[in-house]
Amino acid sequence: MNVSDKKDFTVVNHSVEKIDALALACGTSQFTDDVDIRGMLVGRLLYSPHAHARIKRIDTRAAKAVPGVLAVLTHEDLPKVRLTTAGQGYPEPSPYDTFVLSEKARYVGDRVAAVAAETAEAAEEALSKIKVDYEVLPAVFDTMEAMKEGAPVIHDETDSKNIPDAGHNICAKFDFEVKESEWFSEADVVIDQWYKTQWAQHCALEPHVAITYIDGDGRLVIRTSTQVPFHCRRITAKALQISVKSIRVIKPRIGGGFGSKQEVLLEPVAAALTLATRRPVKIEFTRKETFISSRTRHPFVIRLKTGVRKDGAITDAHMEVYCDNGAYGAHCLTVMMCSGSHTLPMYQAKNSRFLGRSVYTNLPVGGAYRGFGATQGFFAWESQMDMMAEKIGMDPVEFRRKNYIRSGEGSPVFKAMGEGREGIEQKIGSCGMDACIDKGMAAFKWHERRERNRHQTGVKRRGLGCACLMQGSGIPEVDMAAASIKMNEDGSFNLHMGATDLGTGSDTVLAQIAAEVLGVTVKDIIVLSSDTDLTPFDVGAYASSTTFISGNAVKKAALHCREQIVKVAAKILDVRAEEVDLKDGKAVAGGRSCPLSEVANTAFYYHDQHQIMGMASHIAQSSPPPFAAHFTEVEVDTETGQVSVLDYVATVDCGTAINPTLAEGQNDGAVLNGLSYALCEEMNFSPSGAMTNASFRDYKIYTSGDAPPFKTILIPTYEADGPFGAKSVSEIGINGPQPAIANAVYDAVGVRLFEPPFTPEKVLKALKAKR
Amino acid sequence: MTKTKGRGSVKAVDGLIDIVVEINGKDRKLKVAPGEYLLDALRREGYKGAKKGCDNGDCGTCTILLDEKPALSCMMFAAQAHGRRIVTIEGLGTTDRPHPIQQAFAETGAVQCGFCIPGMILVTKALLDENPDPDERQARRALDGNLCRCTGYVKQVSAVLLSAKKLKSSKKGAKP
Amino acid sequence: MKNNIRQFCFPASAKEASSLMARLGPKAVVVAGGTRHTRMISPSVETVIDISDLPLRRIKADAKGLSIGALCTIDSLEKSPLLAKWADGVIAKTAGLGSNALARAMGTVGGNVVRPHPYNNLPAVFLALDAKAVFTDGKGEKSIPFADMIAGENMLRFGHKYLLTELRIPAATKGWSAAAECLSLTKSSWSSYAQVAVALDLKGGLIRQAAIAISAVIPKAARMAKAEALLAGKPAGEEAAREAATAVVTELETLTAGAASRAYGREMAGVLTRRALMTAFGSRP
Repeated sequence: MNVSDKKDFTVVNHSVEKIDALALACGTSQFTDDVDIRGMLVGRLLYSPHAHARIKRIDTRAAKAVPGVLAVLTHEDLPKVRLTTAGQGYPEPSPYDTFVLSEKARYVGDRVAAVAAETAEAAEEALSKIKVDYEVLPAVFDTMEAMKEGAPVIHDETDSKNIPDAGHNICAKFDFEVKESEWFSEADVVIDQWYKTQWAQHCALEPHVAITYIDGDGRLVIRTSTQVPFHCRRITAKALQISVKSIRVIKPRIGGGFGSKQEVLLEPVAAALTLATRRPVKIEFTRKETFISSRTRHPFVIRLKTGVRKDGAITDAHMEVYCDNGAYGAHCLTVMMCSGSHTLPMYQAKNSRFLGRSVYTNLPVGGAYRGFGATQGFFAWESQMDMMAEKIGMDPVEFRRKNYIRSGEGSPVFKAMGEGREGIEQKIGSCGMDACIDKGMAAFKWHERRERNRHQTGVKRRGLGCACLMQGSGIPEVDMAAASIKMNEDGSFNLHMGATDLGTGSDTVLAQIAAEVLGVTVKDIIVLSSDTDLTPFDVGAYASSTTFISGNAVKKAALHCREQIVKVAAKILDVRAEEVDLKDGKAVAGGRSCPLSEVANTAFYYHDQHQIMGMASHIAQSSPPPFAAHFTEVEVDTETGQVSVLDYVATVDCGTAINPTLAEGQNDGAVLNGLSYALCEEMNFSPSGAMTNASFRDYKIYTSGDAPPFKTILIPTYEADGPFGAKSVSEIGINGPQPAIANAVYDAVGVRLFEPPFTPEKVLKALKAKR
Repeated sequence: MTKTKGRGSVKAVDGLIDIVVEINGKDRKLKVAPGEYLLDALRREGYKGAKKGCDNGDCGTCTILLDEKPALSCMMFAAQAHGRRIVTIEGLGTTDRPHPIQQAFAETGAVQCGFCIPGMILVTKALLDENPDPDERQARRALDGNLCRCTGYVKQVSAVLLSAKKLKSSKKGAKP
Repeated sequence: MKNNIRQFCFPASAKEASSLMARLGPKAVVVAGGTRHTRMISPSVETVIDISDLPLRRIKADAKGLSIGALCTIDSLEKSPLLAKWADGVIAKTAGLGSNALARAMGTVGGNVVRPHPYNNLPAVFLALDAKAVFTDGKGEKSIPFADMIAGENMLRFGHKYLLTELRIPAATKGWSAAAECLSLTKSSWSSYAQVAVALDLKGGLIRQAAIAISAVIPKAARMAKAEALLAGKPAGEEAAREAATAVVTELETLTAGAASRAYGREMAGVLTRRALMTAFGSRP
């Protein structure tokens, strides 16, 4: 019985209830901050008010004298170790350019000092009494200006590593070219266009929070809202120059991350305060702090110059991207590269070139954010696809259909561009793009709507737009995940894995995979994830990797466990092992069966006594892209510039949806975040670089009342490399709304928008410029 | 406890104020700091279901029911709750005996990270107490003070509608 | 945590509240709905006067007009059957504009109007309906035009001495044609680019009297006297609406000193004025 390839699922591909849903709905699930620890101190951070300043002296004496204050730390108190806060696989492909507490202020919000005190009030008072002598330096806030000769050099220190050109504020660069003929020699039409995307924030509802303490055995415990427990352990150990084995990282329930918690931000500071005071310490970002001092979505300046033949073949693609990384280089190479590596293979041109630069400016730091560069890249690409289609007189949907990458096809880009290094050769396995387009158009009534919109008059005009998308599923030959499964005497199993559920439902999805293999229900799987002392390694939740990579690890571990069960069951049932199947909590062979509890008890107490336990690791050789097609209709008020989304349909091919309801939820969330990013989200800065809208009142994210009607449609395919045919789903949806809406606005009023967000004021300006 | 009549005044003695407040059906005597916000006091007292998402009245994760109406506990001083009736998510149901609204949110897939969910469930309770049969638009509007970044609100709106259905059928079932 | 606070008072009557206010002066602050102010209390305040027990939550109508208690929540305005029928339901509609369900459930009419802030959505509609603000200082009632209250330079101080108890709207406005328009980044935005309320005494297609109030684009809501004068006596129609809209933009130029950052808001106030007028013109057969 080959369980591996089975397609008649009993648990997988079923919308079982999320295993932690009810406890969360009853308020009993514990998030990081939902514990009371006796004697816990309050940790607070002091931020630079200057965008660029040399710190000449910090006087902490008055702060230390405040009653109730137990520690005041600055960079002078910590090991002089440059690191990256990016929670990536080791060695991280980001520059080592950051101190836990900065020796030079590089943006408003840079961390200058940390305080631990008995009360929040004492901590606040101490912060106000730290005297920092700043020498204010000229600052640079513009991506393109920052690279020019004579611009202020943000990283002028000599001990940072892996900065390709600090003198020009370039923190990462990557060039790639594949050329089959002379550039633009075969093109009938050439379009050369610049795009510019905005600063945005993740806005996970739970702000970052870390609690640190020393346990009874003298080890440092870090209880934290992280997407990357194992990277967090490694980076904290390095930052504080302590051993990895002296640290335990625990990830409780997490209130969303979207990439912002893939950064190791609070843990080393809290840990340093705990080591200094030998007391438990909690540092919790306020909402304002998450805006000014956590991480952001990198704004991009993109130049896309493409050539297309009249028959619809794309001949040339020259993509030039400038990724604004803010003050530090977190994820600077990888996000920049993903803007090309996830877009260029989608419509393979004969000549293809990518020139990427990531740039330091004196603004908040970019980081991983759902979509990871592909979002910015697809805004340019999918806008340009419509422009090309128009120029050659082809229907925009058919133009895409003609060009997208098919199953069995590869791309030189896959090999040339990985994440921060060379990629891998790969051919597309499953691809449901055709069905995504067909089913999406049908559900959206694309043609009917097009007809209806044909003759419009009046102030409010409607238009249609679409976008086709892909992403990846994990980082091949880099990301590793492991899991172990231990059988209990009642036929239940402990599933231990490093995979990190940050609200995504991965604990449930991975339990489903284990249950499918073991012939039990999800209720028989007791999940423990993300505790560096208790669970095997996993890189963590990022790069759309959990279902695909951790899922494969869990599947293998379950198969390993199953082999052992089958062996024991064969003895009990007196049959050959090959005859045994696991079903409904029983081992069955022909007409005979025994409950799994009997198998476990036999192994525990009677025969060839041993613990039935499976263990496996997985590293992927491919990163099968999920595909998606999005369709939208907007209405543009030509007197106010307001763009209203009337309807939105997002189809997605994620292979087998292990849990369709959760997969829909992932896509719904990504799409709504994308809609909000397209129309209203933007971090604004004062002329001196301070964020001016650092609250939910002023930085708008969509509410249920703002959300337009929209619908996710899952398009089933079967990905041979994925666990039970699954690919990723969590990120792709965010890439669509910005270009789809921009295209729809053009369809409605003939105005092209190249600089999101498409606020009424901006759209009206564009309308006027056209008149 | 009578609702809001003649609560008089409360004063700090040695830096703390004694208040009496009904929480989840039980009278509780609490000592609170005068300048302390209700959310902080509730969390300190163990009602961890009320969350701190912004501490500025903008996100709805700290929502409680105050005399049956939804209220942002981060925007009230703890002492203002003196003499009033509070319901937190812990007062609605438990995992053993969940409230139909809690069940509905779990069943529809409305719970992703779950940080916003206690607030949404309490808002739903208040909505359905007032309007047992809301339409989709009313459900959507009732939730528009509770931010969520995970779900897109699609399944949460369904959860409100399913909650209404569940409550109606449980009421019908209760009749002799 | 606010460390300056020492005590909380829960007066049961307006009289009790205002005498507390008079006695404690700037050392006390009045809190009603608490959607904003509890986070902005000044360090000199020692007493919080929580007025949520005061019996000021009624909406009623009689021969003299409409009375709205200062402690009515925003959502109670939105849901009031009485308000739904008053002046084309413009107060109820305005109450439903902007912010979110929790703010509407907690926020009160008083809180929305006593402190000038461009966030507030109700002042414009009360201005347009010629409302009167009723205060008590514990000894007696005092009623002043709502417009005077808004224009008053130091309402906060005024609020310390006098307690706003209700808003009265003249009976004559019940049958007026009225409309409100608002343009914001998103539906749930607290702040808007511009907000407009218009109320018209229409008879036989003629505008006998017009009120236009603008907010959001200016720090405090204001009536647009020139545009109103222009409409008086004119036939209701597209032309009148356009002229009034232009007049509004011109008047706002003066009020905002031509600030470039306000140009979009001014222009939108014009667009919204025209739209609101057209809606109001069309609201009666």
